[in-house]
Amino acid sequence: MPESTIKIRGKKKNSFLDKVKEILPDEGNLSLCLTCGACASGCPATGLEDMDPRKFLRQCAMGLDEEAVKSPWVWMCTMCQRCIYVCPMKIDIPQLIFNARAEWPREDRPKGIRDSCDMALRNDSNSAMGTAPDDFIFVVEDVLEEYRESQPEFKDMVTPIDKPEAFFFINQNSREPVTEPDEMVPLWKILHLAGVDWTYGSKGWAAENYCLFLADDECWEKVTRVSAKQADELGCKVFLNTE
Amino acid sequence: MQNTNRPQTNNDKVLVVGGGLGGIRTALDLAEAEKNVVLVDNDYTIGGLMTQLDRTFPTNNCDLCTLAPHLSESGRQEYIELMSMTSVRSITGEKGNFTVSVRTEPRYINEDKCTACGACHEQFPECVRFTPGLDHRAPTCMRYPQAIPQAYSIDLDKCEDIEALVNCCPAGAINPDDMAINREIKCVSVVLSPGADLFDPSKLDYLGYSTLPDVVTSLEYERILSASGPTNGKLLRPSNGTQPKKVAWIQCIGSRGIQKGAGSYCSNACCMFALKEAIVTKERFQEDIETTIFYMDMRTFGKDYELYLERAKDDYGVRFLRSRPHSILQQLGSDALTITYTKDDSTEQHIEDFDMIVLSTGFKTSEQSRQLALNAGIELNDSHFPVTDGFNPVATTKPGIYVAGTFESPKDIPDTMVQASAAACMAGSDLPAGKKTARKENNITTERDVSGEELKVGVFICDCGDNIGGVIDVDTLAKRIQDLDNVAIAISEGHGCSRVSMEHIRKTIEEENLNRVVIGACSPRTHLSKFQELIRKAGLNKYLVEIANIRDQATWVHSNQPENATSKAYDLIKMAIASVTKAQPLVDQSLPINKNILVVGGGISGMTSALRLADQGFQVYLAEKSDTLGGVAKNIFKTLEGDNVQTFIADLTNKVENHEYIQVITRAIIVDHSGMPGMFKTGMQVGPQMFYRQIEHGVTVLATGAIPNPTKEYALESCNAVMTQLETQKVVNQTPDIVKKWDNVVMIQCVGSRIPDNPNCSRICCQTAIKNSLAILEINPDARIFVLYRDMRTYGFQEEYYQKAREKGVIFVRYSKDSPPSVNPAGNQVEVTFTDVILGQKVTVTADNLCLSTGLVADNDSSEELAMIFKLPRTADGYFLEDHVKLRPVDMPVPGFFVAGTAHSPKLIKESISQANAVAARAQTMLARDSINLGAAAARVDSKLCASCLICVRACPFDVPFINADGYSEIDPAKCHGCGMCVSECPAKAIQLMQFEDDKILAQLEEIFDKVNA
Repeated sequence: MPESTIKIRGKKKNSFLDKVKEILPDEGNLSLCLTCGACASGCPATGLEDMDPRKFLRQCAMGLDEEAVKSPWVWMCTMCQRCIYVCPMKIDIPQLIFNARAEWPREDRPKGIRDSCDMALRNDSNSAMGTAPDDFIFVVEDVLEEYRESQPEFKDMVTPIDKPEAFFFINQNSREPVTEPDEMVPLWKILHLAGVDWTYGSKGWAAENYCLFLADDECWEKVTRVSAKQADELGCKVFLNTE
Repeated sequence: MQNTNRPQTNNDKVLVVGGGLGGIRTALDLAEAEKNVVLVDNDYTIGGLMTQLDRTFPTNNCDLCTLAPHLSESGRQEYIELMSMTSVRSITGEKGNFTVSVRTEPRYINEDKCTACGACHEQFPECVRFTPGLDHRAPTCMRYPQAIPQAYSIDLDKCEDIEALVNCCPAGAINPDDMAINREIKCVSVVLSPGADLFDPSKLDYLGYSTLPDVVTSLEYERILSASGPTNGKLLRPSNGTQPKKVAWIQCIGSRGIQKGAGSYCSNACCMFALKEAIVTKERFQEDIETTIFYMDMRTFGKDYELYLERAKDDYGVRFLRSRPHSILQQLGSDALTITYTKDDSTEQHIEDFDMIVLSTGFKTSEQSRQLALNAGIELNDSHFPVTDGFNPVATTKPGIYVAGTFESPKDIPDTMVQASAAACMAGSDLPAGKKTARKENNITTERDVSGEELKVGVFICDCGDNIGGVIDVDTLAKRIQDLDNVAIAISEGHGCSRVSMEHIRKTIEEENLNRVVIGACSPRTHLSKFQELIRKAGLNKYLVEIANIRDQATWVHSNQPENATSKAYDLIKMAIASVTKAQPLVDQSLPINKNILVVGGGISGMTSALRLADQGFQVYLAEKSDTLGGVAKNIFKTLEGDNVQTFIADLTNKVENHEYIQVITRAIIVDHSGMPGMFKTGMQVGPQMFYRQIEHGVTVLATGAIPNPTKEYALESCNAVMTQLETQKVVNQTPDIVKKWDNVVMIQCVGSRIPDNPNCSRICCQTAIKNSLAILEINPDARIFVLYRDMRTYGFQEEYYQKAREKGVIFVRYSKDSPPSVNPAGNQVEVTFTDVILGQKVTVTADNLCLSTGLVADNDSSEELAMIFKLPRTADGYFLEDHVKLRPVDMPVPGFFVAGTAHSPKLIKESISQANAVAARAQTMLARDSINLGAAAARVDSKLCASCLICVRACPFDVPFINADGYSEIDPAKCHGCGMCVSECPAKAIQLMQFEDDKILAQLEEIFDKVNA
């Protein structure tokens, strides 16, 4: 047990938890914790850095803002939502962690995530790998051609890019076109066999969003708007995020 | 069972909806008080949920064995009209004049003709109704052998050859033209107790209930354990039929939650339910099985329930883990159930495999009962339970309509029984006063004179399902018994207490002209009166029957040694035969009843009981030892729900003091007591001068209350900043300005409770801490409040206030018995240091107020004295001990005594009021009679042998024997308690205790000892 004793005296000060409660619907139920441990029992990040979701929330509740918010553990959360799914009190722990990340100065945030976000801002692809729109189009067309030839049953398969009025606007994690192009094909096949009316966008085609995971609201918005604008301009009905 | 013999007059009836345990109790209480009842139930047979249970906590008795006598009681009560398969369509009118329209579905079987022989079910199994779920025994609506009504029911839609079905019935009971019947019932009041459903966990995909067969609900597990269940009581995994080695329970499924359909309330009974299942499992399989309970808070707040929890831990080795597992998974190719969990003192994730997992599913109101509430026009709360009066939980928003049991709120059986009686009291008091239905004379056959007849003993041996038949071969045993002297007939009789067997026994007695009867069965304690009544119907004096308890004393205790169990059962029956051959016809004594009531204790409970009974026209003496009425509740300002206690007490006191039938006697100290039920005499010293005064009364109500625990822990006496919850509440209500200055408040729970010196939970303190926390925050929203607790026990709807307190920022920190908080006074403040287990860190709060939840303890000074004077039992911690903790929670074991309020155990004001109302109902069942049956067990003196030595006169604790004018000892059978003290003391053996005469006992002894001689 750590030696440090938490001292509580005098008037209550506004805490990190209070701040987050204000911006979440129903205060994210952040005060309702029964400390039952359902979240910690199922969290993939439980035990890392001697932390788990229950302990994180508890630190916030006890006013240990520094320990909670500055813990590197906040960057280990995958935002998978397993915690809130089973929480009897439906406590929005993922949102609390997101807001803890936002408390970090941008330059102190993990370099990998930050660089990926910055990369996405470099061109209109949104790609964390910095892939340019033309490269994406080339790879898609090249791979399509290869499969049409080698698998005659898919000779009519299409991979529309910027098809106006397509029903679905579909995006694509950029790791696939760049490092594992074949991985794109199963989805195409499904869409083809199901007769789906869809399109990629030449802009905003990359589905990953490291700015979100970086808790950089401003950049997150920028990136998202590029995709949304492209889908709107094409007149697509549904934005289908594959991430 | 249509009772058409009674004239149907308007407005003299109470309608009871729901034939579960609660509804049956309500109906019986009213009927025994000679009030007319219509009991409707939509099921094929009454009994409700309890008939599906195996054992009940905390006694671990067999459920059916304790319930079945009640069911048959309700079946035969002449004031009850029972309508099964009947639902309420609408209720119109108002208190005193309701019109209820009901619809009875066709059974296609004439209940009066059906003998439940089973021929229809054997030949047309698809046509008889089937109880789904795990209950895949006989596909019949007759769920258990003691069912009432004792009749099958036909599903005509499934029948292809109706004519053949009709012809297969030897009794001609099948009527394919049966139709639904709509009826209107006029009644003055209505009691709704349709029960509740259980939460359906199949939508919680992460628990795998719908895909993994070994994940079962607690009720299903109960069925698996039950001797009458789908596996005949063998604990087997549904997936592969093997016996599990590791079983886990997960608590609060569908309770204490705000998502995925859960109720935000606590379901009250599940902790005890899981404990019972784990204990029964350990009892049966001991080292062969591991049991684990995953819980959030163990809520063992009922009377002596904490001891049950301790027993589970210490004696049975049930493992308790405070953790909610995330999900139940099964690896491909494995049959194990895998769960991950974390304990609260570390961030390590544990992975563990189990063979079976039991989901402790909570109560939910059913769609049907919500519709019923709508039809009745009563309001429901957000959780769809009825809105009730803050000081009378059985009263709904509509006058004249009352609720009880799990329909009112989640609760266990004792609380259901209390509310059922309370509802009977309220509904009964809406009946026009003084209007009593004339009791119908029973056409009982005349008693046969058996004197001079050659002894002809009939022996009937039950198999009680597997309870007896699973260990010994009853048929073979019967054949051996048949060869004994004086035995005319010995046969096996299945479930002897079922209607079919009872009828068969009766016929056999008549046809074989038997004059003595022995039943080889279960306990005479529960079933003797039933068999006495039976042989009386067969024309025999009721004392010519003997029960040999071959279940409890042979097959239960020697279940692993069938041979020894068989020979012991044989001996027990032989002894019973020897005894019954000496039995003589006896006559019961009866005495007129004094209808006055003595209520001891003038708190809320005592005043409530007094008022209810006085309103019914009975004279009540209310004796209070202090100089004012009101009791401990005088110090309480508001309830958790915000109702004003002071106004309520003032109003109640006023009514009591001015009631024409209530005489309030303050400063009354009870000093002596004599007499018997129906004619007591109690002496007391009264007033400042301590004058002696004696009251004659027929019924005594104990409402002596409990007292705040006088513990002095945590610097309570030395530091001004430390106070009890009662004192804090006073500050909050009287000097809010002080509260505005509090920055930090700490509350410590379980101070003086749940410790070796006082092992039980005080029940009320968790909700008190919540109530006072919310009140403090109301005045001072910026105050920080820390509640240090061991288990938060905010049962039922209190849970919603617990949630509200957390929402408002109250921090709850768990501590263990082994590391309590430490307290250091610091000037006007106090430093409280405790460990936050989750953080693994110490916390020191400099508090402006440290508030101790000190709870209640029995008032030993007065209760010890009273228990001695009234000769009543108490629990180890000094509360009065009722007759049966499950089914008779307000009746004391001494007839004529009833207990209400905190004299019984710690409880809330509204719970005390319910119990006080229940007492009034129970007392009326006794006061309705004009005389009381004392039984036949009385001492009788043989004047020829008496030497007038006075030993009996001195030995009698009740001062009954005296030396009469003829010079020998005389004992008035009406006054004799039948304790047998004089009988054993008399040197001349001149006194015999009827029913237990020497020759009967000696005859039994000879039967066992002749073996020794030989």
